[in-house]
Amino acid sequence: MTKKRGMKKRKEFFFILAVLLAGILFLVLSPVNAEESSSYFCAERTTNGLWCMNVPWDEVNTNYDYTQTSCEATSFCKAGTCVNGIEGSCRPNVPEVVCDDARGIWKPEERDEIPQCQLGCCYIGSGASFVTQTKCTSQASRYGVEISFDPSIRDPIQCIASAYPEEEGACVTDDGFVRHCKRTTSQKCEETRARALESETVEFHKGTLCTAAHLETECVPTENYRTKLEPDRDEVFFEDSCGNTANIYDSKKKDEQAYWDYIVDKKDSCDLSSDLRNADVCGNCNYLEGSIGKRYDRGNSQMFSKAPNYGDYICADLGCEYEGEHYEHGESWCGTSVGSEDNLPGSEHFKFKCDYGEVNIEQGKPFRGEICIDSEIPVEGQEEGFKVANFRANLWTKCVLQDNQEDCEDIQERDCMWVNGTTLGGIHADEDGIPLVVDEDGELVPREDEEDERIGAACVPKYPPALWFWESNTTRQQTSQETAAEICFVGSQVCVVKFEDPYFFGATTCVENCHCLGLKKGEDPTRMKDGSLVNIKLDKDNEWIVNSNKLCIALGDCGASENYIGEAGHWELEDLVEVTELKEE
Amino acid sequence: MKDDKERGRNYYSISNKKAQVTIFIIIAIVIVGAALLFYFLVPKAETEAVFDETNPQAYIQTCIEDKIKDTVETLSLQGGSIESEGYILYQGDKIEYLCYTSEYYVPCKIQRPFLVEHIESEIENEIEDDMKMCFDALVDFYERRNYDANLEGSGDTTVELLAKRIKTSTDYTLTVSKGSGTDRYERFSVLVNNNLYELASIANDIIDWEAEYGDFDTTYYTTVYSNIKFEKHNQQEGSTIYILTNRDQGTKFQFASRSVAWPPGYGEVPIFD
Repeated sequence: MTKKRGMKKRKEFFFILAVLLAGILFLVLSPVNAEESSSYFCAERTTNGLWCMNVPWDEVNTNYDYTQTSCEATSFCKAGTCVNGIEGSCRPNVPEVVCDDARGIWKPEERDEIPQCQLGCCYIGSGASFVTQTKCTSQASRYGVEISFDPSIRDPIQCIASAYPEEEGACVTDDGFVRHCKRTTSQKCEETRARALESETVEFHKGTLCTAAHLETECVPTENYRTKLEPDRDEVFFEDSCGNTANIYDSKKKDEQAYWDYIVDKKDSCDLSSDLRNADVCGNCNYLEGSIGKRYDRGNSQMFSKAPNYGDYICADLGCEYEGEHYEHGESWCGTSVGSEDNLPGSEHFKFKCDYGEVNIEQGKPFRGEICIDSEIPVEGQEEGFKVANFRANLWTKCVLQDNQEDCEDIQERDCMWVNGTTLGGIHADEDGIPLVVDEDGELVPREDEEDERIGAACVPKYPPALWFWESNTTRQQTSQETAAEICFVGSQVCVVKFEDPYFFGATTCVENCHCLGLKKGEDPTRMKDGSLVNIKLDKDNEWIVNSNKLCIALGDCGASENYIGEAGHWELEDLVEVTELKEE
Repeated sequence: MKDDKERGRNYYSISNKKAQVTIFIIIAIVIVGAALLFYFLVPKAETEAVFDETNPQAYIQTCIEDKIKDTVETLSLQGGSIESEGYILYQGDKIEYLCYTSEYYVPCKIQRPFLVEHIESEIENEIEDDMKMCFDALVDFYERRNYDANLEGSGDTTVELLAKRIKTSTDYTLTVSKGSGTDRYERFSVLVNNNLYELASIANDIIDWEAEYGDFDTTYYTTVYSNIKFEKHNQQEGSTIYILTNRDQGTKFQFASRSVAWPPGYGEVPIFD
């Protein structure tokens, strides 16, 4: 790939043209055939079983319809809304043929424009969901509960807030001998009454516990104050001798009869401290605040710092320990893979999240397409806020096009940085390949003449992207590789090193830009008989080449570097340099 | 003397060795015999144990339950299909794309608009033969006990994903008679505890979002569904694998999507302008 032509001894002025290629890819890739890229078809079915895709010819399943146009322009693959007449669901962006195949009703309109798809509030048991009326009806059979639908509620949050959980109480059945009791809703108690024998009486006591003294039922507090969990509830509850759920576990009130008489609301129950230091005595766990009722496990010291005073259940800490630091449940923070500081090939940006006592890792869009941003939500009375990390797009794509510092560092528009003293020779050069320089207004302008000593500058990505630079066979990937080569080429630089032979003795002396070849001004490169030069430096000892390579790396996965796990790339620094000899009389 | 002793020691040694070998052979025969007995008798004993002449429903439940569970597990790991079409290979699983676009920057097109119904149909197809075999075996059991057993109905199996359970029903009616007594059993149904309905419904929500806007953020859902773990794995070529795990049951539903994918570098020009 690399060409190093011998420098012939001449008694004239001559030039060496040194070119640093930003990426070797440019040399190894051939451009994609223009015809290939335009030969995309709308395939009703692709060879790998997908419906209605715009794909190259070799991915078209010819047993189905296809046409050389976009799927949106076809009758069979146009996307719209697919309505399920029985279940009532409305799915967006479904190709007509897919909807037909699923026996749905396809409509070209958006979901919001279709009357059957209008959402309302569906009250299911004591909860609510924001769905269509038909879906609400179908959910009634799936959940086996009664429902009601309110189409006037048009907002999901309002819908959930408007749910009216039915208040529970004690349903007492007296068979003449024993007063049995079950904690339930009045509706379910009514059903019990309907099924009761003639000799039985059934009564409902709203807001009352089965252990209430005045009810005189068979149910009493358990001897050892047994506790239990309830489905879809966070807290730990006392359990009575009949297996009914009593109030939230509070060891201080275990012997207070009043606490066993009436249902106490969550907000009026014991206060669980945020660090769970009183979890042994209070079961008022709160999932959103980082705790949930669980069976005590002595072996899990992270979730359970202490044992409950009574029963087998306790509020478990859903926080996490990660690299010596404690994170609350729900907190997230940014992280990077090895090599991310230098944005080495293969490195990515990650979001870490403490979820239910374990740290989950989520990667941003590949190729460093997303960056992770840390922030903190202040928490009253605490020094440290609640940590929140989020991905956002890495806005790097237009960095190299910026020709002044202000535009370059406009954080509302892009993630770039202005680097003085360097240049993007691939684009910031005049027609002769001479790099642009920064004028007094901070703009990149052509150099006035050879005496012009103003320096160049470059606008490069703050978070260099990864590029798809490795070899592959598919058309789409080749396109990506070509793109990678184009990006890297932006970092190519031309350095004109000037030599002269003032005495016409055949001895060449470097007079200009000698540093590009690792020479000092006035120094002569030694030419061997085969024409090669032995004391020019085209490797890591050449500061200009090293700095130019750094600029390449700043553009993305360009230049010569190791990858994120420390493996060296295929190319060395000297592979990126092309030296061409020119002469001038 | 010494030679005699030596000879005697050798004799006993050889004799002991022979005895040992014999014992080993006997033990081996006993083990093999026990294994054969276990193999042939235990399954039969188990089957016999669950067959109760007065409760054919319990027999059907036991007979088909494991097949339903296995089927559900398989399709849950493959995006809701037994034979995945249009899938991505992820850690050995062929995970079906529920929404896909081959292009960059555009939202995906939904590939399985009615996921719950599709899953129901997949389970129906997969267990249909086994269900028939269970009923044939049931009839056989009755006949071996000198009953007259008659099975009516087409044997159509219906699967319903319900909240926290999966209900499988058939239209078979079984009439058994012995002497003057006749019993008629109908509405056979098998219940399996599983929250696939909830997981598939959440998958639908995620896919709706991906089909309209692209990337789905799981943050809100993790706060609403405390019993479900949400995992999202971005893949290099733009696909996303979602894994929903029920924390209590450990059951999983995983599916793939490719929506508003970004190309590496500056990206491609859209295929059709």
